[in-house]
Amino acid sequence: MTTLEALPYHEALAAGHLLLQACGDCGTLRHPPSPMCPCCQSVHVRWQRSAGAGAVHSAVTVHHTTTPAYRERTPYTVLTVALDDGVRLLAPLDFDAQAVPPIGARVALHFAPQTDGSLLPLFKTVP
Amino acid sequence: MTRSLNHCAALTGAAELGYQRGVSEFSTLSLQLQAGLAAARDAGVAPAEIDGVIAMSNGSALAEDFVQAFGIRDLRFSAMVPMGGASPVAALQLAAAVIQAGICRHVLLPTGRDGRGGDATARIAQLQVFRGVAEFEMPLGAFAAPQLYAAMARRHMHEYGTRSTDFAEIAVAMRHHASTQPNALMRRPMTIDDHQNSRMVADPLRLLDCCIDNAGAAAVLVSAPDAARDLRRPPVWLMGAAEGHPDSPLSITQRPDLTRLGAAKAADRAFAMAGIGRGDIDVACLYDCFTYIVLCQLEDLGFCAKGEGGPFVRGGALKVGGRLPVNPHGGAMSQAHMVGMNHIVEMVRQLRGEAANQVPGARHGLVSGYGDLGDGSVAILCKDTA
Repeated sequence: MTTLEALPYHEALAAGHLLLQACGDCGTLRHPPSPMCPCCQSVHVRWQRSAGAGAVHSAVTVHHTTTPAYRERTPYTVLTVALDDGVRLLAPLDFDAQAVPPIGARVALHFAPQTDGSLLPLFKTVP
Repeated sequence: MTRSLNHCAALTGAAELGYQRGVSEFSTLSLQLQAGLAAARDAGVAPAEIDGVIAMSNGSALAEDFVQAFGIRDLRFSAMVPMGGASPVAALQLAAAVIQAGICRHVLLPTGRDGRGGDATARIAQLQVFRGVAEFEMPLGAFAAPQLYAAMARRHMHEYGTRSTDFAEIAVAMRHHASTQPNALMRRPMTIDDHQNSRMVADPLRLLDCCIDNAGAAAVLVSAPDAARDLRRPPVWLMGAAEGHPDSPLSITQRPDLTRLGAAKAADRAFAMAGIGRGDIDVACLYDCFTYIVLCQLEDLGFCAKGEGGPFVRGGALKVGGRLPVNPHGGAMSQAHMVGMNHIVEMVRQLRGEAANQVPGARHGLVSGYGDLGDGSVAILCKDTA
């Protein structure tokens, strides 16, 4: 299930980079993509590339899930990251990470090739 | 023009069926009809006299099903309030408004589920309000309520020093109440250590931070004041009601303050309508899908300041006899999960003075709902003093 307004975001993510939606009129960035700017109600958009860098805002380590693709990965951590661009992004921490970064720690988005050839975005701590 | 709903409607009937783990021998529709019928009979209202139905928001039973089964000749109002676990309490506000407007005299609020239809993760993914989560966050590893809500709990612990043992206090109090509640599913007493030793589900939330999942049904009837005074049970009066939606209601991730729920916006409106203060509340039934949600609501509802929920709940404060008795029926943590309708049923019983774990002399009660990523609803009810 993909919304029309989010197609460029999904296509970019699949290709290995993060595109964020900005208002085509007032420039305010928003995420996830949506049909209308919450600041000026414009329906015009432009897309801007994000470096995917930011700071950990919250972290959850999942020990139990019924979702098959992730069950074998438990325990894994999902990070809420405040991107430097100004919006937040939720994505997994690198499954091979040795420790969960504390709140405030610097992380950056990477794209990890999966066995089916797709790319999965995940955060790695910035040394 | 500002109108108040204070004393414009009363809860006149309340009922719940026996709760059970696994699946019921009855269908979800049958269970809701049975609970609705029991609530009408509790009030002494003939089912055909019901002229409004606020159906369960997942569409599992429609107002038309009640027309058909109860022989309602002229249903004058039907609606759904799609706010997840905040729906039943928010529906109290709607029912009272519809009654005050003169549209209805008896509005039925049914809930129920038969335990079929997949686990909670599968059910949640189908809800409209979760469509953003389904599109943008489920592909990235956050699938279920505990995984989404744990991010709020983690942030609260970081900002305010809240401890896992504070969450334990809440689970232990709910279980303490359930242990003496005949219609409760989890009755074996629990200790703080039991909670601390339970396995992690979505760190920082442990297994015993989570509510249970079950089959069953519950319903309440809301009636016009003139009708309420002539019925077989003492009316429980609605004093104040409100709903509130958090900032960034469709995405917890983007919420400016992860520790502020919709209840924070609803609480002042409900108390202003009721004309009483937090200190007047004798008993509270707070929606408890997870322990943390109770702690956060205690703050957002104004029973303590933001960040002081941890200290507030320590030392058994939520048990009957404590500083604020919460969920004397055991709540969704230990009695049953019935989308919070069982919390309303319990409040009716408390204010009639007939609850299994009765708060002595309870006159004013607050019942809250929470659902759909942060929506909140609040109703303040009082005992009949006529």
